[in-house]
Amino acid sequence: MSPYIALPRQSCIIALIATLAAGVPSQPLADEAERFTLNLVDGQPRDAPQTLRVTEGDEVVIGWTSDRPVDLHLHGYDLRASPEPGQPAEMAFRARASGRFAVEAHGAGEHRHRPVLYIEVYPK
Amino acid sequence: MSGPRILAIAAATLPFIGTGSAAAHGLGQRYDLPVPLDLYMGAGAVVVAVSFVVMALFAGRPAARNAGAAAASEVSKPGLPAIPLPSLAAGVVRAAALTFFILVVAAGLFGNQDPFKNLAPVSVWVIGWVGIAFASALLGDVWRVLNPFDTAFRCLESVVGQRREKPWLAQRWGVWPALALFTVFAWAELVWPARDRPAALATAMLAYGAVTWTAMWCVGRETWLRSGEVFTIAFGLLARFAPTIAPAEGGLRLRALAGGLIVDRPVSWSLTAFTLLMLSTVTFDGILETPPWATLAEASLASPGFTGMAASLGVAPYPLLQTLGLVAVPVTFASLYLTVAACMAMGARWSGARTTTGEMARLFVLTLVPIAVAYHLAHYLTYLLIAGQFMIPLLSDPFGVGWDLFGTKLYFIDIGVIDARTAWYAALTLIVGGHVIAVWIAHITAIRRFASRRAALASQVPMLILMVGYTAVSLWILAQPITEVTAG
Repeated sequence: MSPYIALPRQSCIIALIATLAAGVPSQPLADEAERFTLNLVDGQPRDAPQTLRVTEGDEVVIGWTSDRPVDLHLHGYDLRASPEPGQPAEMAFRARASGRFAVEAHGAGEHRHRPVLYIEVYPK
Repeated sequence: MSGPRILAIAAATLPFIGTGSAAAHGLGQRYDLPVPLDLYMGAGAVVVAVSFVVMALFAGRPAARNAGAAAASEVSKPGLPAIPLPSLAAGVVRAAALTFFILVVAAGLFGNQDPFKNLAPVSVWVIGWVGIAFASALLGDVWRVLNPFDTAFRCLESVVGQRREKPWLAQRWGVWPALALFTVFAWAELVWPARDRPAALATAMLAYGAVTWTAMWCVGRETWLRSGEVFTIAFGLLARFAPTIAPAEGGLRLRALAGGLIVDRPVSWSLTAFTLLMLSTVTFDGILETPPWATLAEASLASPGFTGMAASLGVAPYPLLQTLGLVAVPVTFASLYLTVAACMAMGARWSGARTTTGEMARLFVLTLVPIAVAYHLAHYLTYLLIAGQFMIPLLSDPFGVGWDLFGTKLYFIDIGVIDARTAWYAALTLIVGGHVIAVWIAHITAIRRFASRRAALASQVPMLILMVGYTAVSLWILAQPITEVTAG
């Protein structure tokens, strides 16, 4: 982790300029492809952590399997997947925007009090 | 498929999000990344350090009251001549704001009831509450011209004649009426499960209008604005932070940032209470998205004792929990603040000055406002930039029935409009800046009040500790991963 503690104001200006410059098309650095497989049992991922972390620019593919039909919705990127028993579903996107995005489940009898998963896209 | 194409298709489907409770998909969604630990610690260290620096600067100044008064007048005196604003401009803005208000109510009552396809929820919660708060804190008292309730009543008065003003009632009541109504508003903003439902929201707006206009009819328009109109008081409080002031003779003057928060004499108990309440609700708003709160919510919702109690009261359990929190946070904050005020009075008395807890509490309460303003700006900046974009397609189709008035119906909401790193630095700069301003104006207020430098500094030590703590809570909230509670 680079030390951002010193000179926050100047770094803020640099970050602002960098953001403006990012509007100009540039050569992408080596973006990685991140593959995740999440197995939902009773609406919760069984083995995976509650938060997936990727880097801005990565190609992300999430494969979902579930023991019962459920409709999943990734907020922000607004993607849907509806895995069913024996029928996995996929969400694929390029992590263009940084932030923390929730995946929520909708379906018969869903009464979860937290989203299924969070995807955190960190800036490069 | 390339990234932008995916995003475009994704964003184009945003207007068609399916059902699910509005609260779960609510317009309150934020996508901020938690501030990373090293930045958080660094900001905290800077906050503590500058607090000592400011204190040392004031300790080194000559102790004369005159010097303190001069310092204060540099801060609060209007620096530049008035910028004249033609009353025609004000009239146009008033008319536009009232027209927009009517449009929003109409859209809420008669338009598509999907919160994402209707102009009302975004206009009230994003553009209205968050947007006007931003504008008030940065530009000045904009609500004075935007207030549609005021404009509507003025229109009425132009027909039936002006109602008699009863200013003695404003003197007697202080802002207690506004405080009572603000508790209702805060509950609506943070707890009310139907707050994103267009028809319910529009009805609430009309109900508030009815209350306001009835009160104005009874006690006079200006009297009610000074005493009971919630947003005049709330946005007026934030506008004290702004570097502008609108003097009675018209126009606009510049002044130092936060100049309006330095007062010559203690404010009323009602304004003190209102300020503490408003600051608490801003903090509670942030707490609602933190992991500890989510854990508390899960535990409560899983506990048969709690859900049983909610059922016996005839209310849903999660809103009940939120309401309890909404009561607990201001009570806690007020108790803490009064304790600090007592310590400030003690410190001053040990140094030979004469003062009371009440005087300290009422003299310094406004100096906390910059911390809340900074937190509010930091917390909502990206939200305003992202959720605010909903206005663009909604203005083309405010009722959600398929119009495309301005050709922007398929505008693609860009969630990448501000990247996380920029947001972090902006947020932390704002928080540190707000803290510095708060500490600074608190010291100036102390120097104006106490002839003895020792008494002034002694009074500031407890305040400094409170401010560092309050800022630390703001930083902590920003460093928490946003954790939603979707209550079924």
